[in-house]
Amino acid sequence: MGWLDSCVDPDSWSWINWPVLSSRASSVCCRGASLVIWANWVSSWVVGAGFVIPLAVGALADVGGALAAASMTEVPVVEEPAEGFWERICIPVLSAETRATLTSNYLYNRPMLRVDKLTCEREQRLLFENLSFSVEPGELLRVEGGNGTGKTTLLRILCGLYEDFEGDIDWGTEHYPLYIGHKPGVKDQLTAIENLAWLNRLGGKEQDTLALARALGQVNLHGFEEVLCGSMSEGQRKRVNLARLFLSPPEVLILDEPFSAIDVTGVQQLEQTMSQHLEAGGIIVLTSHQAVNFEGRVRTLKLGGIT
Amino acid sequence: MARNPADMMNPLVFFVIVISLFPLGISPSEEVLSEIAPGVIWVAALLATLLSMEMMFKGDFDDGSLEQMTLSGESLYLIVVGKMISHWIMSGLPLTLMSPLLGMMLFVNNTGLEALLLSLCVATPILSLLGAIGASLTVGLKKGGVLISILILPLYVPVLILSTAMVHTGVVDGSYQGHMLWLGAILMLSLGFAPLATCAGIRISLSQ
Repeated sequence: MGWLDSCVDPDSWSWINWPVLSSRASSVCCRGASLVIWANWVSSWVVGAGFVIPLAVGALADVGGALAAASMTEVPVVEEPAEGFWERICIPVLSAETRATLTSNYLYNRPMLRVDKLTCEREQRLLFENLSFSVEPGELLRVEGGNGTGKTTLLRILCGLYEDFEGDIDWGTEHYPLYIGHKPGVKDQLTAIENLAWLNRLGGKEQDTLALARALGQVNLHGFEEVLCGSMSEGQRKRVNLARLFLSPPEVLILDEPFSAIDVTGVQQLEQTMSQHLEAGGIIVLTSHQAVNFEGRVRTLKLGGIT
Repeated sequence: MARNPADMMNPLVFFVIVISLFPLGISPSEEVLSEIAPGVIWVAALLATLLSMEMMFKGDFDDGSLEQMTLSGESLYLIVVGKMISHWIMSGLPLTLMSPLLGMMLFVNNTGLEALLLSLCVATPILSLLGAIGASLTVGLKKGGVLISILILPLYVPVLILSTAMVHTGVVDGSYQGHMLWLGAILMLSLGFAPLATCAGIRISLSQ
C-alpha cells in the first residue's frame, strides 16, 4: 500500500490512540485528517507548478532575448522622455489631438521643481505667503533672507520634513533629494569612513573604501578616515556629510548653509563639484550668506520675490 | 547603543538595585517577600525600561541622523522596527535573564520563576514597542523623559496587571495559560501598530 493509500485509509492510523473519542468519531477524524493531507499534497503540486512553469518560460524568454541581442550588429538607441506621474497616468488616456495641443515643454521638459502658492505659518507667524517658483534642470536656487524669515523651513518643506503648509510642490523626478541641514548627520561613535559608508547606503548606494576615502580627501579630511567623529570638530563632522556630494549624488541637492564651517579650499572644491552637478542637469536649492557664482545659472529667491 | 556601555548598564543596574533594596526596606522574611515579589520585580522592570526609553531616538535626533534616515529611500517602518528590536536586546533581554536570580532572592518558588521568566520574555518586547511611541513623540523636547512616562504608563498598566497576575498564578502553581495568551495577543497587536505610530511620531517630531 503506497503512502497515498495509507493517507486515505483510516485503518492505517490505528497506531494513534484516540482515548477520548468513540471509535466512530475516531474513524471520522481519521478520514477528515487524511483528506486534508491529500488536498494539501495536491494543492502544493498545483501551486508549485504555477510558480515553476512561468519562471521557466520567463527564463527561456530572457535567454532567447539575450541571444537575439548578441546577434545584432547595432543596438538602436531610443531616447524616451522623462516619465513622471503625468506621463504614466494621463498620457495613455489622452487623445492624439489633445497630446499635440498640450505644450511639449510641459510634457517633456518639465521643470525639476515647481512650487505653486506655498504658504507657511509657524508659531502664529506668517513666514511666506503664495510663494511660487520653479527650478529647471541645471539651475541653482539660492534662498536668501534675514534670520527668522523661513529659509530653513522652506528647505525642510521641499524635502518633506515639514508638512504643515499650504500649496503644491511638484517634483519632476522620483528620486529622493539629498538634504544636508544644520546638523552634521553623522554618528559620534563611528569613524568618518564608517559614517560616510552608512550615509551612502541609506541613499541606496554602495561604494568601495577607496572611493569613500577619495571623497573624504575632497573635503580636506584626508588622514581622518579612521578617526571617530565624536573627536572631530563641528565643521569636520559637517564635512563628512558633505563628502556625499562627491559620491554620485542624486539629481536634487537641498543644502542648508553648506559653506559654513568650511575653509576657503573646501569652498572652492565644493563649488567645483556643484558646478559639475549643474552641468549634468541636476538642481541645487541652498541657503547661504555667501555669494555663489555659477555663470548665470543661479537664481535668487528673496522670500517675497524672485530675481 | 552597543558603543555606549552606560546606556546598556544603567537600566540593568537600576533594576538590580531597586529589587535589592526591598528586603532591606520592608522585611527580609520569606512570607512577606514571596508575597510582594511578582509586583516588585515587574514594577522595577517597567521603570528600568522607561529609564532607557528616552535614549531610543534622542541620539539620532540630536546628531541629525534621524533626519537622514527619514529622508533616505529606505523604509522608515523597517528602520523603526530595527530600533525596537535592538532596544529590547539591550534593555529587555538583560532584565529577563537577570530575573530568575532576583526572583530567587525574593523567595519565588520554581513554578513562579518559570512564570516570571515567561512573562518577561513576552511582555518586555511589548514595553519596548509601546515605549517607542512615546519616545518618538517626545524626542524633540528638551525634557521629554517625564513626558514619556505620562504618555506611556496608561498603555503599560494592562501589561503590568497581566504579568504580575501571571507570576502570582505561577507561584500558587496554577495555570497561567490565559495570561500568556492575553500577553501574546497584546504583543501581536503592538507589533502591528506600534511601528506605524512610532513612524508618525518621528515625522511629527521632525516637523517641530
